[in-house]
Amino acid sequence: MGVILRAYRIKKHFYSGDRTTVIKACDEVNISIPEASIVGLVGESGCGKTTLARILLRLLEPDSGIIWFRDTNITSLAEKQLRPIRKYFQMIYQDSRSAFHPRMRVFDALKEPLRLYTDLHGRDLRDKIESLLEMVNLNKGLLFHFIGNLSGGEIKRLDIARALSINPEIIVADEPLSILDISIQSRIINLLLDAREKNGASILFISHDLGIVKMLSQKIYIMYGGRIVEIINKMKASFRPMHPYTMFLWEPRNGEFSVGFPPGGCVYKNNCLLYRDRGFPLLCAEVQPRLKKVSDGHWVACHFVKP
Amino acid sequence: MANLAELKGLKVYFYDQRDKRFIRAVEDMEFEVEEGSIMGLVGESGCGKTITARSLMGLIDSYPGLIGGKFYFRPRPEDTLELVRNIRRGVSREKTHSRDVQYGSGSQKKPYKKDGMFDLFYGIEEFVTFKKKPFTIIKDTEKWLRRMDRIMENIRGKNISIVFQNPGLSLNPYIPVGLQFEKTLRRFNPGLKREEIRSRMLELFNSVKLYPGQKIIGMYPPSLSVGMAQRVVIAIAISSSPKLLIADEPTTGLDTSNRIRIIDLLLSLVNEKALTMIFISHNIGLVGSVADSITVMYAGYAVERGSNSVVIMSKKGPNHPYTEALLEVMPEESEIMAGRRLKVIEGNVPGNKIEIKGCPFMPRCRYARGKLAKLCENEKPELYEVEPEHFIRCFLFRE
Amino acid sequence: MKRYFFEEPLVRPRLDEQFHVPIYRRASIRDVISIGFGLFVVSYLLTFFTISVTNLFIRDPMQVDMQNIFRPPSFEYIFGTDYLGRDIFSRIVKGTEAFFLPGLLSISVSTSMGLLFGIIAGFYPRSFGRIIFYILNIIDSVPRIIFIFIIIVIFKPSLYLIMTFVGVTSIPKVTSYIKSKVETLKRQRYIEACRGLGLSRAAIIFKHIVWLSCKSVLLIQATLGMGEAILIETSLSYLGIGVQEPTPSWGNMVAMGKDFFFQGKFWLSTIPAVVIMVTIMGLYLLSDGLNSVYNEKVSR
Repeated sequence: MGVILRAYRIKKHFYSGDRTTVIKACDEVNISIPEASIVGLVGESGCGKTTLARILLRLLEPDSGIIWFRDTNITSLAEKQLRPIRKYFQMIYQDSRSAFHPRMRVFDALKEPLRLYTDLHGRDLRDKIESLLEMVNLNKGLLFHFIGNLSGGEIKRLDIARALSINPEIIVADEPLSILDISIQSRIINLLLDAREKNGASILFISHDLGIVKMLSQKIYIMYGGRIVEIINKMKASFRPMHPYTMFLWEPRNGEFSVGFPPGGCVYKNNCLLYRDRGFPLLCAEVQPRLKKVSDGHWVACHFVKP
Repeated sequence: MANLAELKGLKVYFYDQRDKRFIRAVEDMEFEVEEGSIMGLVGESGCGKTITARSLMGLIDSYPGLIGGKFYFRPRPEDTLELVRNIRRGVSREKTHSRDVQYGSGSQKKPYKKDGMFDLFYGIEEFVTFKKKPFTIIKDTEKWLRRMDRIMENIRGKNISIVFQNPGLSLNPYIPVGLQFEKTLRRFNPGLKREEIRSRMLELFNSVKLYPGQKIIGMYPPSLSVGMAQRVVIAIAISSSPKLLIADEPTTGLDTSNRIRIIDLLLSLVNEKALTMIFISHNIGLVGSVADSITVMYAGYAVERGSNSVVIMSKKGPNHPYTEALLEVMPEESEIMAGRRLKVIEGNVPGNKIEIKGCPFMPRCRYARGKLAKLCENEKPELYEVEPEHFIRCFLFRE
Repeated sequence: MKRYFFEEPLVRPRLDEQFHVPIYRRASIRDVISIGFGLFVVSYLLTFFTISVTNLFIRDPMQVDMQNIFRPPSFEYIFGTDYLGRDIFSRIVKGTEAFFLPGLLSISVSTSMGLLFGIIAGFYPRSFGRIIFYILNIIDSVPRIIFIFIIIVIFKPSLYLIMTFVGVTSIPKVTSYIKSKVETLKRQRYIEACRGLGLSRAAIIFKHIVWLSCKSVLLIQATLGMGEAILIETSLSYLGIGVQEPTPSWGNMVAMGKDFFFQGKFWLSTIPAVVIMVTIMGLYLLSDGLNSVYNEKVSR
């Protein structure tokens, strides 16, 4: 099975105005997404996963690192060369409302990608757009409404329809289920599963809900503070969370929890129970743990997890 | 325990001036809340749950607004007198003489009291009614809304508080948190000194586990994280020690950890401060894990209500077809792994501008077949008591 | 809903945030009247210009008719005749020729260059933007009337040249509007989404930025520019520097007619003056109405 998208040592740092604080949104991140599979990326909001998603699609430039789409190195491609390839990777945005011009109409928004990449016209185009609306369960009467007037759930579905309309090979879905009702979530999940099965697309499913991600993905990345802290490949290893953060996500308990990018040492130490129970060992405070292979298909970045 | 609030027959309509049509926001909503319990209100977005919540606080301000219902509520003892005075005011006395038997003469007025609770919507029939022809309102509702305002002044914030979904929208981003809080505190506790207000604020921040309280007072809402902002909103809501707290989708859109903490916070408030809560959400699983009693809403109707154990927990027990479908679409891993697709609820929620004949759920109901279909299409079911304290609006359960 | 005059209704209607209603639904009565009147002015301008250019006059505006001098307005001569017996109405119609094309020239110059510079300055605020604004500041500080006279003295009094100059002096305003719009827009997420879709840069600029967002600014500036052009042209012609006799221009008709005003033959100068006023007012009202309709954030 080939790898459709691979990112190697992606680094992206944001600096505050006076250069005193650094936010390491992405710090030595490696990701590889196989063909026709669903890969999950889990983390709290603010951990850098959206930044990573934008970097992968080259909507944002990384400070360093390489990205491969199939065999092509797309990191250094100029915009002009990149443009024709863009039809193979599409994104579903976390804040769908900001991804559309509010004065545009629904019809025009869906027409844009279709006109770019297919040669559907007139009646065929109209039929295709209507079928797209049906696919995401949007009322056909909304066809000529302004996007600015739609509700959040409707816009999210429109975003999904737009991304799926040109059958891309990889779909980066940033919180696709977040504001949807439960009754529609199952429909969208089915859509994504269909895209994978019928069109062979891969999906990078970004979410803060480990439960859903675990159900859908073949491979799961857990991200915190800009670093990947655990990788579980469900095809090869059984799902047994080992990193303290993953364990917290899987079985959340109450207690103090802060989301942030602490300088120096392990990113998770401020919330890590292990850190606390073992009396704040210097190792965690100073040394950033690297991803170590615990078993085939299972990698954990923690000083206290031994293979 | 006695009921804290009872809602019966809530009807909220809006009038679209441009299209000259009525929009049915809520058609027939009812529930009962026991004192000290949590009632879960479940429904898709657009089914009218937020409108219901707002009408309980008299916040409906679009024309024509509230046009029917009885909302019995037990206020704090110290507010009872004021409330009764406001209720009785404004219901005209002259009309009672020329009225028909409904009102009769002065001493035989319709009751506004029931089991120690007071009807906050008392007198609504007098102000706003439909003619025989559907969708025609006789009187304009502004006088009614003005009266409602008077009644609700005492209730809003003091006896009933509400927490909305997005804390970013509830807090003014240009005013520091402390100042906004102070406004509310001063309104309900006039004559407090500065230090007292400050200490009360810190006390409330403590009870919602917001640290460090001192710093938060000076911060502006945009600098707060979503979880913290939501806590501030909750703190402001409980600052007047209300009897009822309405939480409208308080955790939708929050991360897992924030969600857990907000829910824990709400649950602890219910336990420690003897608060009663109405928890509104579209996530039936979430509601099922926190609520004692459940009301399910669809297209402006209350379609099922009962205690949590009979509505959600019992898999074999009777349920409204909509509730059943909601419970089924929760994803199960085994299904996905086996390559099967998740179940969906076919169809769409009916638009609220058209008139619905018959049962609103009929087009999507899997049981509406054959002879039953004819019935469901033409007649509207009532809430039938299927078991003691378990009501379902479906012809399947009509004896 | 009833409106209260001086007291606030107890129940305050909630302002819906940014409800994007299509234009025709958003306008208040005042706007409808403004825009309606403005469109009426535009339509008669267009009609007159077309008639004038195609020479479809009912009565020749240049035809001297000494038998019929100083006829007051009547059914036969709608606006009367002037001191040479020429039909004033036809002359008014022909007078539009004086400013129409030059006016269009002026607004084309200001909008196209303003758009171009605005986009460049918006996308490169630190490099090209600085240079552009330096130059534009210089242009802005030029006293227009004086330079117009200087141009007339140095070059021939060609109206086209003058209008080009007027257009150039209007560039700074348009540029700054466009630049600020571009600066806000380029940060918007949907522009990034368009890049993600694979739209070319040109498509993004023209479709999303210009057409969807800047259209209103340009239209309003164009309308205002036309009004300004008419004002300048008529003023110059009144002073005798613009269009010369016997070619009619509203300005020089007023000038010629003023000598006869106190003889009781008021229509020679009053009518063109009223037409000037109505036209310019119409254009300004149009731009005002458009402004209020496009930039209104609050709707019912």
